[in-house]
Amino acid sequence: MTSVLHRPERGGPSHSVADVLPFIARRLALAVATVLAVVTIAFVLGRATGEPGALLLPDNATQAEVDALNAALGFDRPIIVQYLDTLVGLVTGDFGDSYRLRESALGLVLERVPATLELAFWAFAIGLVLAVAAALAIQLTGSRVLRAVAGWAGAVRQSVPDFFFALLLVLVFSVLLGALPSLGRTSYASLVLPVLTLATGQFVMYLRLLDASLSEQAGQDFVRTAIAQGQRRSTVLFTRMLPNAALPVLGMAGLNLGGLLGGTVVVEVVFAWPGLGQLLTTAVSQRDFPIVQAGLVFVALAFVIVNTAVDVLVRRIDTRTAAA
Amino acid sequence: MSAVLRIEDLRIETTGDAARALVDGVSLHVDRGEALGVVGESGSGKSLTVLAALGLLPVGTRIAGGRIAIDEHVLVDVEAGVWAGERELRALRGRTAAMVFQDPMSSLDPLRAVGSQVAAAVRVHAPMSRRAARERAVELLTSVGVRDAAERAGTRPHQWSGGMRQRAMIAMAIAHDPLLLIADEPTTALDVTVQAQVMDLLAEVRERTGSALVLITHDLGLVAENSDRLAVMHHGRVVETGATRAVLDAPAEDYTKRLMAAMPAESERTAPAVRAGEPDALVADRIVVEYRVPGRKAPVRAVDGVSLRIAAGETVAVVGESGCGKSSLAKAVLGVQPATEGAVVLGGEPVRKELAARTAAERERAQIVFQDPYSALDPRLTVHELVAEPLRIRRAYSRAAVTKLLEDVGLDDGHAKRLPGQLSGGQRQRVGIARALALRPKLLVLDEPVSALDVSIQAQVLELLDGLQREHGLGYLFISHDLGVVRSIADRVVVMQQGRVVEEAPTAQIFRDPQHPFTRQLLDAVPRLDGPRRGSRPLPVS
Amino acid sequence: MTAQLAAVAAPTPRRWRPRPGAVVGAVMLGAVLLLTAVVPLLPAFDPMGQDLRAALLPPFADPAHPLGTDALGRDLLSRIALASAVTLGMTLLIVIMNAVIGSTIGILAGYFGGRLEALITLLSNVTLAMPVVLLLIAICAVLRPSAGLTILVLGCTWWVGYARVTRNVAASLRRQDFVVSPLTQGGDTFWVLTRHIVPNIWPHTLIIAATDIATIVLITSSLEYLGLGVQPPVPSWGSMIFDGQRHLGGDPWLALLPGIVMLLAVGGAQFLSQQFTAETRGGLLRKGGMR
Repeated sequence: MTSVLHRPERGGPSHSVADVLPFIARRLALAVATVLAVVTIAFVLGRATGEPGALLLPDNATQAEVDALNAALGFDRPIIVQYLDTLVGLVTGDFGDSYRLRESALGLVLERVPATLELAFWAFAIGLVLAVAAALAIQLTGSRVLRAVAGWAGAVRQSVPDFFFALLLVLVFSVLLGALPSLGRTSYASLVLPVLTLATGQFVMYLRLLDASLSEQAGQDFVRTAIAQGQRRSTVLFTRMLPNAALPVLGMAGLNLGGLLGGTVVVEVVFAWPGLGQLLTTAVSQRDFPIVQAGLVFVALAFVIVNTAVDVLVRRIDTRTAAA
Repeated sequence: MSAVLRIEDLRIETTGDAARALVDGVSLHVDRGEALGVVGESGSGKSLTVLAALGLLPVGTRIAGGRIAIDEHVLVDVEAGVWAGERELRALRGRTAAMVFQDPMSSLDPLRAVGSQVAAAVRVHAPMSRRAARERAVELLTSVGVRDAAERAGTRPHQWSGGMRQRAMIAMAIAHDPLLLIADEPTTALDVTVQAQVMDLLAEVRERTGSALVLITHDLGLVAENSDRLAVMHHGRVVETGATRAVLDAPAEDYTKRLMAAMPAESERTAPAVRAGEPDALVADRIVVEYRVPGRKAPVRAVDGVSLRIAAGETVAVVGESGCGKSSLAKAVLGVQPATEGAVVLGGEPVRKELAARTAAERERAQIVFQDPYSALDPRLTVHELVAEPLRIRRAYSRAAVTKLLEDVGLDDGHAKRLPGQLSGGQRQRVGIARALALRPKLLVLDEPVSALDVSIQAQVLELLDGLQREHGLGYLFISHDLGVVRSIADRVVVMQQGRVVEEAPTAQIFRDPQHPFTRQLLDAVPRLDGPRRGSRPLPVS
Repeated sequence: MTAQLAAVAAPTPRRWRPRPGAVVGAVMLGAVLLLTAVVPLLPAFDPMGQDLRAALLPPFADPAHPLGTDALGRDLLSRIALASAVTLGMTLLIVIMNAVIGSTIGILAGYFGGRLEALITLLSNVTLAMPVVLLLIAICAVLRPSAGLTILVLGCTWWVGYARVTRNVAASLRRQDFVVSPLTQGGDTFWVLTRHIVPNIWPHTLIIAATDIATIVLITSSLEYLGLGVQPPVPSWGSMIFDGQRHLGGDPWLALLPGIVMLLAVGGAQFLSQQFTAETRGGLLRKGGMR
């Protein structure tokens, strides 16, 4: 109901190229801002622990040696210069060398990425596919039992952190049954437990979302219209309800995928999986900041790219929000 | 005589522990080609009765008794244990019986092109290639008056206007030449002039296809002009039924009489309440309201040089369709959306254009009663607190004052303790009025104050407003899109279109001798009890 | 006039029937709370005392240590009780901080709109887009991990969820007529904010806070597992599980017991919060307020 005191309606939504461009430009600007924020924070953190010279050399090193090392690493320059240097490095892909290993920080990070991606990808794919299947099954059968079981099982899974669930899996499958390996990235079998840990979490999350979304769609007027025209309920489910229900889930998926990349950290530590997360935690405890910086930026970049892509996709599908 | 739809003794209950009867012992029938009007207020069970026929009852309700037959095919017979299966119902839906729902915006899938949805409706009962279906869809859309149907078919619902969307719904409904068309409040969500067009379309379509029609509505005038027979429903029962003309000319039942009495008056206000010698409630001089819309270079002029004068005790109705500027004018008077140019004088004293710049004393002089009784009251406050608020703001609170205000609008202590959620729409509007009167304004802006209420309640509230005006000498700025509603309460009518006043005259003159073509259009669109039948005669009974 | 009004009867009070989930949740969480409150009062309570002769005792073996001991001979029951007190206390603080910060920001953004809203939206989007957990790890590691640091960092970064919801609610409330009405009667913005906006928003805040409790517990325990957050010798669920992981083959209870207690606490909190959410939403709907 409109009232006297509403703002006036804006013009209708547009989706010509000329109007989409500012949107993309805005999203890109946001992406850049985010990455910059992350780089800055990483930079600040890096400098907050003080200069690495003292940390890297043995205790009996003289002050002169410490100063020399610091100068060699570029720590005697003014802060602003160091910061700009970091930014330049961001663009050229040069994050300096790891303090400990004397290799390119970015190189070390990239080396570990495939392992993390492996986990993340499988967990996401399996979790999502199973969730869609389960949500559709619940809608098609209308079974209250199915929904209740899914609800309870999901609640239990979400009541434990990933690392504990992983340990339970290890206890059952590695210790008691001896069927699956629990450490390292050695074989396809070693992939099972870590992926299972993450995938179950994903599955529960997506199922909850999809179920709520689909249930909301079921009550919509246009669903009633389609049924009143004689369409099969299953057809209506797939052609009308699912696309509309997928939208909010798609938005969440974008956010979640990025979170997944960061969230594999704990699982990698539990299973000694040689991925990016494990590299970062080690680097942090060893105060090896080039690696920390390179890793954080990489993850942030990946996250931002995924999110932007998802946002553009959603906007393309649902032109209603184009006006907003 | 074969009935297209026959409902006997239908009983619908809620599911769950405490089963309540929503519809009880209802019998209706519709013959081939004829139009049946089912009239009732909200909660009368009129929609449920007909939805039951197609198995479209909402979750939480079920058929508990009776018989339903479509085209003499028994679908449901509770006694005999006959329950049509989903497949049987699917064959009927959209083909033998088709529905047109109330709100075309939410009734269409927002993510798919309109043409594609019409095509989908076509393909349900007539398997054909996608291309053939799309061509048929364009044909259908053209036949219901959608211009440039081929191009528009590719666009999505939110790019179509309300009237156009309803036409698309009708196109989908007639795709298979149904025996029966069911229209559930098909025009309630539309502007008045568009309503008339849609009803004309329905009549024309029926002439082409020979379909019968069940028209479900709360609007007696609509039924008077569009049906051969009618059934009046109240609290889940059929109160009266018969040939439309016969029933309306000589209603037998009390409830029917009450409904008719509550229709917008057939005559104007007899005794004006204007008080001479008091300063005018409102003098608005050459008001211009402009605002900028991002993305457009020139600002939009919502109100373009409108002058208005309302004397103490006078009611001036500002009528027009959505977007004509009547709301912006009201906003400017109140100061909520300040006028860009022009002057506002309230109760004889000039006031600043912006609300925030006005002193408290200035703000008191004009108060507003909102349209939507649901968003006008803070759901967490009791009635007493709601009416007390303006007094508290001005530090003039006293229990007695609040009680008196409530009494004046017909609410007592029992109501004072309740929350808005526990009140009916009419009662909420009364609270809104009491609150508006708390600071003794000179001018009351009434923004569509009764359009959200049931017809029988509308009359009560209008009566209340009339009484209050006489007692306090208030000036009323009455905004409405419906000429019929203002007839009984307005002294003068101002008709607005696109930000300008196109006609202004005493009420009687507007109704008897409208000058401007737009006024005539508005007048024409008001469904009347004695109005001419739209469209054709019903087909002869076979 | 009064006689004509159709009396809408005052609605019969709804019988409060708890859902099965809520009962289970209350039992689960209640058990943990009981543990946390009662055990420290027992005379045998001693979470730090080491006794290498009584190391690695299994549960129920020794009445002096009902749940067994760890590798250093410390009583597990006491440690678990202390750990839960610590974690739950931290979580409460963090959630309150987030709720207050996030809701305030959200209300300001939603009500005032304009540039303020744009700025806050930018801030929210940037915060959301950052790999928060990784950053937390980095921050907590650099600045010498401690419970206080964790509380501070989590309390200041998790507010976006609240801000988003309260912003949307505030923005739609602003459009409601009952918010504008006091302005026409002489009220100022402060009046509107305090009497109409905030009271209508805090049920939403509570709903988010209720579900957030579980999330925050999980995050803090993950941080503890990685060696951040509460430092030894003060026990925490995460660090106890980390220590126990080594013994998974021979003495699995070291890792399992804290995990089970955590499951009870978090699961219980979740079930209860679901019931709470449903009730509050139902109340909002009944009153005709925002959904």
